[in-house]
Amino acid sequence: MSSTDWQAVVLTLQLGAYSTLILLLLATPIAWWLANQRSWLAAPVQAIVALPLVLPPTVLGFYLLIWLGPKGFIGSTLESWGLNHLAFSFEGILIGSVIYSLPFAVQPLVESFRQLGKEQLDVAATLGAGWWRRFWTIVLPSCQGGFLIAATLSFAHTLGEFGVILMLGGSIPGETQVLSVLIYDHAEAMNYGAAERLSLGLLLFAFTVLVSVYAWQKRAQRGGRLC
Amino acid sequence: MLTVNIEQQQGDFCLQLAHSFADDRVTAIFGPSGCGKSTLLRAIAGLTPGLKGSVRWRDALWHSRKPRMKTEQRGLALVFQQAHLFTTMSVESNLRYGMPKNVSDSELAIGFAEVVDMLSLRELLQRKPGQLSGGQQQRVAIGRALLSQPQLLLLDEPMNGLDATAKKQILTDLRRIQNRFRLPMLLVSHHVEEVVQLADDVVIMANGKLVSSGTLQTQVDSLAGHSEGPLSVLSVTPPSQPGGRVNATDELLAWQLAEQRLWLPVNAAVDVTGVSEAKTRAAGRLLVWARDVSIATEYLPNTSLTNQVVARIIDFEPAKHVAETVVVLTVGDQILRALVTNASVKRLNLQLQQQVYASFKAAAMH
Repeated sequence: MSSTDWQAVVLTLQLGAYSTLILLLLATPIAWWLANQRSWLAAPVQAIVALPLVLPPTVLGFYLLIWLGPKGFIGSTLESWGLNHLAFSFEGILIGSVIYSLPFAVQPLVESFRQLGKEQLDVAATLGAGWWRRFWTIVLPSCQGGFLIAATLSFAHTLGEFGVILMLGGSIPGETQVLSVLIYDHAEAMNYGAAERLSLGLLLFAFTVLVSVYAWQKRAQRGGRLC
Repeated sequence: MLTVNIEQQQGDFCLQLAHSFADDRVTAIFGPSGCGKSTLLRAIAGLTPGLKGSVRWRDALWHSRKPRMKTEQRGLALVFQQAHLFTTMSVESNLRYGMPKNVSDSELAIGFAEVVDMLSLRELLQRKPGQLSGGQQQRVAIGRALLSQPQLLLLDEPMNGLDATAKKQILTDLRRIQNRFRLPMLLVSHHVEEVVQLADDVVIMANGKLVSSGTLQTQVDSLAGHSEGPLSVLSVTPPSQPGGRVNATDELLAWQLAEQRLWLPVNAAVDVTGVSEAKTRAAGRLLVWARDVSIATEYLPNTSLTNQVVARIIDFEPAKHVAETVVVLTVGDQILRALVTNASVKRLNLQLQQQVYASFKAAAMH
């Protein structure tokens, strides 16, 4: 593999790791709210979260390119503060990646929180546990299966991202050229050998991660640990 | 004193209740399923959103329009119908969950070792909740609630869905807890037996409203009206003359009802004051359903009925069925009701102030 290939591997893993971390932090309160909310507001919020599932990635990528670019309201605001706009940057594709994978993190957590039920948390409250203690001692251990699935799906989905990244980040080596984009570049340049190597690597990696998760899930279900 | 003046709307159902509960005894909240008993308990615990009104515990305002004290700050514990043990933790971790941190066991009003022994949980400490029976889980839930050192213990039908053996064990445990820790308790139940065995006071509810309230003795008629039929609650004491109390061969124990001797199976009567080792000197309480009482105009020497007491007829009340009558009797200063057919009243020519013999099977006592 060439140094460009290795660079893309590292960049992809970085993007996946950061996206997953941010997604877990962001998706947890959203999922908690959705799992416990009965107001009319829940439906529109759920729809916004799920939009990336139905929108073509190019649509999302296009809007993000406009908003985060030098003429967009976010990009221009950043520039007015003396910072750089976010189009064609790692930070830009990180934001795009987080938004694009949001439903993959939120949905498993919503299911997990719904299965947990309110009763154990009510019991904990009557035993004097405040909100944080209830979250760390009851929600987190009981819903570890949901968190694991959310993290895995977010990570795996980020690895497979193409449209949003191409639209928003282009293909800048070391900055926005992730594996999926590099495979496209190799294929376009008729460099099928390199494209095949990277594709096979990505395929095996994704398969191994998913097999591990499902095996863990089965074991946890038998042990009654999965929420 | 726990003073509640609340209103809670849930769809078509409205809980509306104003009452002051004593804070030094067990109060049973009795009523049919769906009458709002559990909602009331959850409202007191601060677990129902949209509650209107106020809840005040002693000097602390737990709930009002503003401020509203969080559940975890109220210093109460609630045992639910299901144990809801924390499934990822061992029994010991469950028990220790609500215990104050950095306080030694000896400094606690309710110590870990004592609760573990009292509820026979020592063998279970390292197990996970999934490895316990329903009764064991509920005992752990009760222990867990106690160890959080509550000022008030709320019990929401803790024996619901348990088999007879587990139920009996938990009733015994709760009585023991009350005797040992003198903890104010609110017990939600729709079983008269549980109410009679545990409660000092009774609040009767129907359709989200309070129907009547008072001490157990004053609420016997109301309990009867909202349960399977007329009943009596008799207070029994150990015999005034010591010795010969236990008939070991027949597993019977002597009790005194007014001036008369009763023989009941060991453990049949409820110890209302004593702890287990004082079984032979504690006072007891009997629940006797009127349908289990029969009347004779003279002493019956050849009958399988163990206990016959001399009683006097003071009233005849109509029964639910037109063919029956409730005969109200006094035994000393206590009321005993017997459900008999109108035909029997006529045949025996029962009259007010007549002296009769009332018999009831020991098996019908609790």
